[in-house]
Amino acid sequence: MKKKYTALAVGALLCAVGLAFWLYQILQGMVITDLRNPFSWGLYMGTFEFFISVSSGGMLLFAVAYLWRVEKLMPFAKLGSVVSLACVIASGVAIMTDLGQPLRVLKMLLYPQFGSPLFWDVVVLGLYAVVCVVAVVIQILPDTKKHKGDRKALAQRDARSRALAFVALPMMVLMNAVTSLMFAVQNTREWWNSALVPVDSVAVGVAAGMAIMLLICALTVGRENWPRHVDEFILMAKIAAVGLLAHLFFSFMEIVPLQWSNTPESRELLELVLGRYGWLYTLEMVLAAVAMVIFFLSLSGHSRRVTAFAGILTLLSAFSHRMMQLYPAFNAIPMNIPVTAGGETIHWTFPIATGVLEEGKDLFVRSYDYFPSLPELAVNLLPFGLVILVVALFLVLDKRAEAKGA
Amino acid sequence: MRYCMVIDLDKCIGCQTCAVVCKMHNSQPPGTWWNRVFTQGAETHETAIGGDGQFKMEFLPLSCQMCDNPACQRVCPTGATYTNENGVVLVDYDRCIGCRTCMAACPYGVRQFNWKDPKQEKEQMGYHYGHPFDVKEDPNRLVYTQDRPAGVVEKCTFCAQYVEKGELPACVRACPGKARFFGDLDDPDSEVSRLVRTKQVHRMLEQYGTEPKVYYISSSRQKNIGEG
Repeated sequence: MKKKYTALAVGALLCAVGLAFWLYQILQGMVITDLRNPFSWGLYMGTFEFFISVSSGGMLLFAVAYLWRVEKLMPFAKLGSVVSLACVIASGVAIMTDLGQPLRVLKMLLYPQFGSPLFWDVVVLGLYAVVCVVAVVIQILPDTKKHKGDRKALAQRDARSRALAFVALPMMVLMNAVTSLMFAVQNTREWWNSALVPVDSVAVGVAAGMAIMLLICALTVGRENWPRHVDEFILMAKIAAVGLLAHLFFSFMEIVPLQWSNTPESRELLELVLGRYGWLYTLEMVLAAVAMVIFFLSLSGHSRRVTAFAGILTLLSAFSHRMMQLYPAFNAIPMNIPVTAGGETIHWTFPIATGVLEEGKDLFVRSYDYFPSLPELAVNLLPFGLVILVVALFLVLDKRAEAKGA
Repeated sequence: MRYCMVIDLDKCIGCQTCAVVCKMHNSQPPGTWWNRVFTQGAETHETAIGGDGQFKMEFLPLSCQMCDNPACQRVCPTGATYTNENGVVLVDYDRCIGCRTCMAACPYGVRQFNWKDPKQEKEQMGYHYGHPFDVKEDPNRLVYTQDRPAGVVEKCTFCAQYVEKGELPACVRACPGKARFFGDLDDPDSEVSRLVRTKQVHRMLEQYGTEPKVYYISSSRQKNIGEG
């Protein structure tokens, strides 16, 4: 119980720091970040996408448990719904911190643009959040005073959960796919403009989602209770492993055509992916591969620590993946034209104004080495703090309800 | 009516006058440039490229290409970016939420975000310039204001504040080489239509299907400086 209160305090502290710096950003402008015109999405966008992926796990678990009637997973459905809800709230907050005018966000509803992928994303995200809320309500209803120990209430919970699972699973897939469509439809950015991007996002969602569920279980189930649920954890680990395998496969399938086409654009992109940002790409792939092996070999199921370790590796890989979506895309500037001089043709990038006059820095650049600033990192604590806060709060209240019932 | 601009690359001398008047007339804050001119292929502006006694120096002005199929407009979630009845792609500064999706979508890199409060920034630098009056288009869309809010995207408007009064954009009027032409592409008798019909013109990054309404009269200098 003490650990849960510590988590509550940590979550609250991260939220407070994040909120304070967000307010500072609203007052000072987004100049406090390291984002600039040539590199206009960074840590906040990466975090938004990361939490979209991570929020998939709980709902996937919920859907698997009730659609296929996997009874041993049902006890985790409640925690799963709460984790998904917490993560979807975190993703919403992360994208809000990325807006230059966050107070105008309602304009998206006042002047909806049905053709904009961002609008589709808001709709899907909203619907997914509603599904998560309904799942949480269905799951906690039998724990309320009125229904405590009521078998009928438990039967109702299962029936309602099964009905909701028919919606939850496609919504989970749709949320990952639609969010990535914001990138995939942009034909001016070669790194994004691929049909594989939405499919890969679903794979990353499955892996990262299951990874956070395993991590939370490893941290909360307790040493003595762990062996009782080992089969469940092995099943969850296998689902995560399939997601990782699919992600590694899709990533490889993205690189092969790039290598094959050998155009100036594909060469430039490959140089960015495997050269300049090769370290991040390698990190993403190696972490995913190691976690996949651990999960597949069921090594994780038997040990809490190995489970937690593989879960962390998967989450780090998923986060690297989200940042890796941004770095090559923004540094392969589309305004790149062939120029011939002295019998030689070169591909020349038209410089972009950064938008901020800074001493000692070029104003017009052909690429931009983005690295999140300290205030930006501080703002970004908010969504992470929210997830910790919501999940810890749920665990505390759930434990209390359990104790009262006993 | 579809407003369009034609830029004669043979006449452009890379003097940056268009960039500077654009900045001043449109009250752009420090660090923001709606219009830029660079030497093609060169690391530094106004340096020749080439080698072995064969050099050349050609300039390329670039601002919003006022696309007929604008990538920026299609992704905008609030309709802040829209095309008016004259075919001009504009940003409603009251409606922009600062998501910057349009910046990611635009292949020309011409969209500029207000990372700071432009008014404060200009005051700090002692800058006092720009058309002083707001321009609103029906229905109540703010397409020009001297001090844009922080956290919104801005770009070339074809000088909405002047064109609505029948005047030419500032860059067209100021160009000392008379390299820029502005007019209605739908009017077959306009100068721009005639130039597009009779000259060898090209548009930037046509492969993306954006259908720009800025045409460049291709340079007739086929040979490098120094070639026989």
